Amino acid sequence: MKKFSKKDREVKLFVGPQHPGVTGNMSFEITLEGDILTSVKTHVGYLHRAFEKLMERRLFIQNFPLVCRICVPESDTNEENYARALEELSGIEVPERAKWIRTLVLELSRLQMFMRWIGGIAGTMGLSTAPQWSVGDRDYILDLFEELTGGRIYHIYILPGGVRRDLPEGFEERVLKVMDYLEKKLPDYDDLIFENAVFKKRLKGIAKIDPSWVEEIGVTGPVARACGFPFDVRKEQPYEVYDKLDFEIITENGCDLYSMAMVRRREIDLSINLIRQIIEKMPKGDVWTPLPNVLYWKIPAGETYVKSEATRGEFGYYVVTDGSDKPRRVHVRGVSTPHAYTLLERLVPGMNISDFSVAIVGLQTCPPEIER
Amino acid sequence: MEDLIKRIESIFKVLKKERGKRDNLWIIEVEKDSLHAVLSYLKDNESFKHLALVSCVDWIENNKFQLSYILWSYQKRQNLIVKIFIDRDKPEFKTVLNLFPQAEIYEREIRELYGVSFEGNPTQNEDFVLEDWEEMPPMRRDFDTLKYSQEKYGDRDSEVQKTNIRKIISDFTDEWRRK
Repeated sequence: MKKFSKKDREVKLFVGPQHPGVTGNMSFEITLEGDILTSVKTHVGYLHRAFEKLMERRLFIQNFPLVCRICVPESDTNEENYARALEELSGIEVPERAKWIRTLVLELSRLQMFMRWIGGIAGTMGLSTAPQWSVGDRDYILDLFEELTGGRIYHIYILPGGVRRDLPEGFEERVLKVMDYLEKKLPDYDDLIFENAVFKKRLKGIAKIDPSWVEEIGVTGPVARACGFPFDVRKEQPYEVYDKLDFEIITENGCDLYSMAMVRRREIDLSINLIRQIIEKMPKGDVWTPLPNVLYWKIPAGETYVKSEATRGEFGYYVVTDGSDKPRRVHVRGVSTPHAYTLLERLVPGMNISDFSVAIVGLQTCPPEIER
Repeated sequence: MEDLIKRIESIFKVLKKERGKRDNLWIIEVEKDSLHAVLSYLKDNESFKHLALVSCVDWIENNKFQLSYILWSYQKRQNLIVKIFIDRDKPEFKTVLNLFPQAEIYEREIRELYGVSFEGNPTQNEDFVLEDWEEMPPMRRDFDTLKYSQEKYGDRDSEVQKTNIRKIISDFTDEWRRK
């Protein structure tokens, strides 16, 4: 019988650019031996919209409709980061109540992103009841956003100097009502997904991360916390009013996809808890410091790097100004950049092909923020 | 943090130091030849183990590119931006891949969008977001996006083009500014 060399047995396969569960388009060039993956190469470029170039040609205020589109499901994190960078550079003070409202919006945004992720990861392994539930429940949060800001996905609500308008009358009660509903529903989610034998079997021991990689290649967010690495920007470098809220960093020790899922599951509880705390402690007052005429608004020369904890990890904005009315450079640190390239290349060797799509959704990669 | 800057100054030549707009951010400028030594010192001795971002800024009026390395220390809870300037006519530098593996992607991006090549990065010439791009690197300040799109694709023969929408918008903005 003819003996085949290793090179003959290898098959190259293109996965993507469309996936269930990944918000956007990215393609993977995987090399297979049988059904075991030996290497992966990530390709992006299907979503490049040249936002960073466009921003250099626009006034500061004109960039707000662009930044919220940088990561589609997490628009508020982008708005808040960009607004905070401009405030730091121009020295604008934000009223206290506006900070609380911003934090409330950020936590609601985090919650809807988690609901969306439940749908994504359950969909990739064929548990198709969960996406129906979670996308439906996510809509209750989007309804709240629609009432508050007028938009369901892109809000353009957080602006330099505060937020666009105060909470409508009775909004707090409606938020609490949705939180009550979600809390009542979460045990059902546990039965359906997180305690499900299929879910556990498909995720436990898959995509094992070496804890030393976390510091080495800059892994952040739930992926790092699943390795027992307590790093959460909300706690390490508190922004807005996170230093006034009472919470602990959630960690797990499994270093695999199941631990990442459990970190996210426990963070859903944490987000609901934080939203309750915010509504309880929120002071009264102004929500907006009037800006100078935004069409003439010039910011002194300087540079800053602001960051916040997105659902997936450290999200950062590096903004450089030169004293004119347009930014000189805005560089967005997408969370997924090290995850989808450096980390994935290390995780893949030895993985079964059927686990690959679960792994990329489990890492919660988001292509729009890699290429902007 | 001031102590740290003093320690760095005692070993390396710091051209410019600047406190950021908030407490836990410092920005230092070093000579480009000593960047690797500074980063290596910060990583090994001062616990700045997390490289968040490598970024490039085009200062066309000074004929320079600025490369910024944004670091974070888990122990000190401090951000530090180390920046260098390289010549715009000779956009070459050395990679920091041996210190930070994730720099590979950021350098590939800068190679494609600014045309700065990084010696020692094996994958820098692969496509990142552009395909078969033959023009000037698009993020440079002298690349005019409007002119490129008009030359490459031409004006479409549509009502919008005939009405000169750009003039209408600028007239409207001027009017608004006068108010």
